[in-house]
Amino acid sequence: MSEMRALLSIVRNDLALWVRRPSQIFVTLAPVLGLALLFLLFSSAVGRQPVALVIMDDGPAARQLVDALEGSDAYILYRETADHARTELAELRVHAIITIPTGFSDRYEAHQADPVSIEINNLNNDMTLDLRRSLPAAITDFYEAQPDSPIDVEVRETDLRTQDIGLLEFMLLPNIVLLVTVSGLVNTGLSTGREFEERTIAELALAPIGRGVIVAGKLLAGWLTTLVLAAVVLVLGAASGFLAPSGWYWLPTVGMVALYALAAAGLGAAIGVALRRIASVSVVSLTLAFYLFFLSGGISVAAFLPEWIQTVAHFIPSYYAVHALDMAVFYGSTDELGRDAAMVAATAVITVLIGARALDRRIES
Amino acid sequence: MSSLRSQVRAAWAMCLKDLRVARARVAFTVIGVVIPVNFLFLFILVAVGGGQAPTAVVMEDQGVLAQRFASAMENAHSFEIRYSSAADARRLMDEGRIVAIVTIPASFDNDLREGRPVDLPVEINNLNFDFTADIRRAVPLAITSFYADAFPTEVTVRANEIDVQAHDTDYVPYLAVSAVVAAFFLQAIIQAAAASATEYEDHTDLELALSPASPWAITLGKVAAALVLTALAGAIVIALVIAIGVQPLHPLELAGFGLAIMIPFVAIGLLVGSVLKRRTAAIPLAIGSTLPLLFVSGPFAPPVYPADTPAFVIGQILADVSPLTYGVALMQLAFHGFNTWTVDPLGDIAVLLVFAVVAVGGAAFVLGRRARP
Repeated sequence: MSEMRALLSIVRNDLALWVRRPSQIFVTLAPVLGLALLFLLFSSAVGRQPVALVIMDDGPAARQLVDALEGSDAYILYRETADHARTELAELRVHAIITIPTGFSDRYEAHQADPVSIEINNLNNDMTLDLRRSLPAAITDFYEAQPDSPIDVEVRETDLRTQDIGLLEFMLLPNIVLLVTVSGLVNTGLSTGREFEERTIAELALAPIGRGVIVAGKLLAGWLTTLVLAAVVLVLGAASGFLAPSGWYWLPTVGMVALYALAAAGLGAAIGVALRRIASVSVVSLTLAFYLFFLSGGISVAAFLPEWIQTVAHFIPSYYAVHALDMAVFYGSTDELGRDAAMVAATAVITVLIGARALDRRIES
Repeated sequence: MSSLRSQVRAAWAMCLKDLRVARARVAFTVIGVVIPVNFLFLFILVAVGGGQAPTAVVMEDQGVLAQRFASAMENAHSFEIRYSSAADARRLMDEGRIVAIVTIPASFDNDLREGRPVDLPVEINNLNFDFTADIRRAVPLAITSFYADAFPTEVTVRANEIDVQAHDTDYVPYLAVSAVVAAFFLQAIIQAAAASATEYEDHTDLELALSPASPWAITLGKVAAALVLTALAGAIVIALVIAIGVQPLHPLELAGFGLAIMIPFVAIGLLVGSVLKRRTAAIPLAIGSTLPLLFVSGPFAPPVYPADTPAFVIGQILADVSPLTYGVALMQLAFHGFNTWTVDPLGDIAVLLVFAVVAVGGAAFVLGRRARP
């Protein structure tokens, strides 16, 4: 009974310290919130480039091309005069100018070569290639809309999955896993490291309680702080409608987050014991969390990554956590849940054992 | 005059003292280098992961038109094509190594020559809307490009591209510049905040405040010391960036702009250390804030957004007030010769100067207040 009271006291103390140290909460949340903001900007901007449209022909073909351009989801299109478009391009308000030249419709009717110019501010290839693709894609739409289209090839699309997932939703799940990783590593790492840096570990070691209680208390506190943050994010995600698993798929969602948080807390304790300095723990934890995040695929789709990263990803537990959450939240599926849960559970057992053993030995010494 | 000389001597002494103290905390210098280098590596991963869609093309017809269509797909800037049998394509899809299968049917050439419609099967692993939409756009684009090439009198409308910049810039060199700015920022904040907070932790701030040296001289001395340490870390990261093949187009501007960037960053670090007064608060803050600040400051593209969604409006405000935005713009100019921000370089420098003056003034004010009864 007294052991349980001691355990709860350690947990309560760590939670109270966590709440009273905004810098610790900040270092946990800031990188993840920064990424979330970046995702928000990406999801609004990606594939939609601000482009000025200069129309110098008012014939029927020109109007149809304008319709195709304005119907394209590749642009945020602004109709401009040539002079104003040039100013906007110089001030970076638009990334390109598309000009439909005088005589466009006449040349189209006469089956003569009929160029539409696109002036691109080719600052980097990511933006530039999007723009290079976008005008020919709009020209394709233009031809598709013609009653006498010369194009006989038609795409017959089959989708592997039941629904498309929006970019923001797709990126938020890996970001939640990143939050859990950062939180588990940083919070457990700092709460453990601080005991050594501020030498309060001696007080704990001399207290009339078993070392196992101290170890369990530190790990439990780290796990709980991580769960609190994850719960807040999951509830916000569900309330906003972005991340709402249907029906009983909440169970694998919450279960996977809890299991993965335990794995992160165990690793955090090991880092805290190994480094025993707040600054070092912060740096190593954040760096490790980001490496785990990106090497497990991060926000990318695995197929887009180099082969070696695809191979490495299979050895990183966050890869399995993200897969399980993707399946549960987006597709209402338990596809390979057994594999994912087994990998994350095995990681949790290993990291908790390593963290507990390291802490136990350090207290003993 | 002699008063001015004594203040300069006080600043110099403070600078030397801080440099000596810094030798005992090499870990901070290492942190300020390691984290930006990690950013650089992770940026490269982002760059290589965001490219063309790995796609299997199954050629059931080897005719001339089928070959030309495959070439049109290769030139669409959208696909990383692997020619496969239907069985191999299925296996690659199941293993998650490709995201689409395009099958050119056996009757492709004959149907086109006879003027019969052709169905082109496209199977997409529609994991997220971003690349799915890219593929949905790119396949019709390849079809039209193919027609413009194979039947030029029937498809006459074409895109005529004019580039503003003399040459294209790959994504990695573009991103690498931001890692340099991150290095300057992180190192400056850590060094300056630690130097400042240490005085408060050790209670030497009171001695400084009561000394005949003015708070400005003390603060400027600290700025000078942190500048030296930041320049050291910045030089290491710049050397690494050059080593991966990203050469600065204007080396002299790189040096000048580097200084213009470091001064406000160091001043902000000093202010942070003076206000928080504890390294355990200041250093996590420095580490935690660098990445979000960098993200809103245009590491991936110019941070200029249309004001048509709340996300863009917030993003624009954050970009406008982030000192890193002006730093990234100056560094892009030095490395690649183009402007990525809405104001010219002199405007960038002026804004950074304002940041520096306000932050140094703030730090001197906090220190000066300690001397008051």
